[in-house]
Amino acid sequence: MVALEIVLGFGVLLVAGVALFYIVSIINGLITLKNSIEKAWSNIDVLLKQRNDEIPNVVETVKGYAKHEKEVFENVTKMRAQMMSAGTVGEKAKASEALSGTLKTLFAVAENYPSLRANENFLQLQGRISELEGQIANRRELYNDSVYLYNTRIQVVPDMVFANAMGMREKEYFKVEEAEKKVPKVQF
Amino acid sequence: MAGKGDPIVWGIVGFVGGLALLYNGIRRYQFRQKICNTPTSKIAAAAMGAVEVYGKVKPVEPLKSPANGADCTYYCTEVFRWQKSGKHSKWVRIKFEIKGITFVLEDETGSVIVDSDKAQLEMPADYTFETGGQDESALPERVRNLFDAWGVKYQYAKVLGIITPREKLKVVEKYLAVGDLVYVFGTMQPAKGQPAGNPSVKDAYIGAKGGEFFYISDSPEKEIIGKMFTDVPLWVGGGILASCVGLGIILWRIGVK
Repeated sequence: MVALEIVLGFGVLLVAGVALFYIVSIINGLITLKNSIEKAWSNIDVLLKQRNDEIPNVVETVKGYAKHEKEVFENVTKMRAQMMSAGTVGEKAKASEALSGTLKTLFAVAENYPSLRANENFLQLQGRISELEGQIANRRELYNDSVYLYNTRIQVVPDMVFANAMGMREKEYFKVEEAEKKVPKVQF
Repeated sequence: MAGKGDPIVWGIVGFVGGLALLYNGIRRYQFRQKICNTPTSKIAAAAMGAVEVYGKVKPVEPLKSPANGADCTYYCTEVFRWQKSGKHSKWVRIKFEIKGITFVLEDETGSVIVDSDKAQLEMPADYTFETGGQDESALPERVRNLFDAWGVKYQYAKVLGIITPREKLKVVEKYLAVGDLVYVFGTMQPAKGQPAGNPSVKDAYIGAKGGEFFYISDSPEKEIIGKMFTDVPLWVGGGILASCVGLGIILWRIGVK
């Protein structure tokens, strides 16, 4: 009987150890996911700031050649200010999308000025902005994947129990809802 | 003295083996969790630290796998001999060669060097050849050349009018063919001696770092997770059961009632 008790006790100890390890790994997994979202977001935020810093230089360069495109410059400046004042991830996504749109317009306008197109400084700035936009797009995908993993995990059993206990809430995606995207009006 | 047939030996084997199974199951579960908790990055967006990337392999220097002659970036070729060991026979590895430790992984956003040294590589055999049951002419030329180059004896003899191999040999080859899609989980680290003059190659490499998990597979992530999902309960459950049974036998043999 003693032998049976020892074996059973040992078995229970192992099962309890495995269960404890399982709980710890769930908690650690959730914390890792939360941190990876923060890391992915800070990588995007740096790029957004870098892009914002380059915009005044682009505007000034274009202004030197295309003084009459006042409305375009005003739009870019307005969107840049909106981007800087945006607080949440969703607001930043919306402002970033709008800013990208105005920058596209600015570069399209620049196409009408051959001397501007030949300006090396402008080409460099345009290249830099395009590169930053590309990097933002790549990192946005990684960020959104991290958010997807995290949001899924905190909604499924058993992770949900621990996520609730730790006060973990759903995170926002860095994207603009289709309905919120403005269709540009074209006037002929 | 406890002999080989003594139940206590089996008890110890069951107890220790069970604990080893349990440990492996837990390690495997940890690997699975790491894979599940890490989003797949585009190569251009992958930051320093633990990363998970998926892309096509390209060679740093083109290689040809010795047994199958496939264009590849990495190969592991092994030759086994069928050997008697006591009452049983088993395959014993007699020669092997691994080449192409470093390769380039590429996706639509860029490429990165992967230094697969110390990686856990999981891929099925791409080529196997076994001697036996056929005459010498059936031996593929590449395999024959490989045996010659590695000094592996493969003489055939005429037995009862039939030419058969004297020894049973097996060649197993695994490789990453150029263009294969590969899943890599590793640590992105600052560059160390990348091929210069290629701006599309990231200024960093993926490799082993300390005891961090480093895994390469030619299966997609979903398949890897799915396989581990079925493996882990078997390893853990089997480990607990085997160690308990082992302990029971030991206690019974030493007279604990």
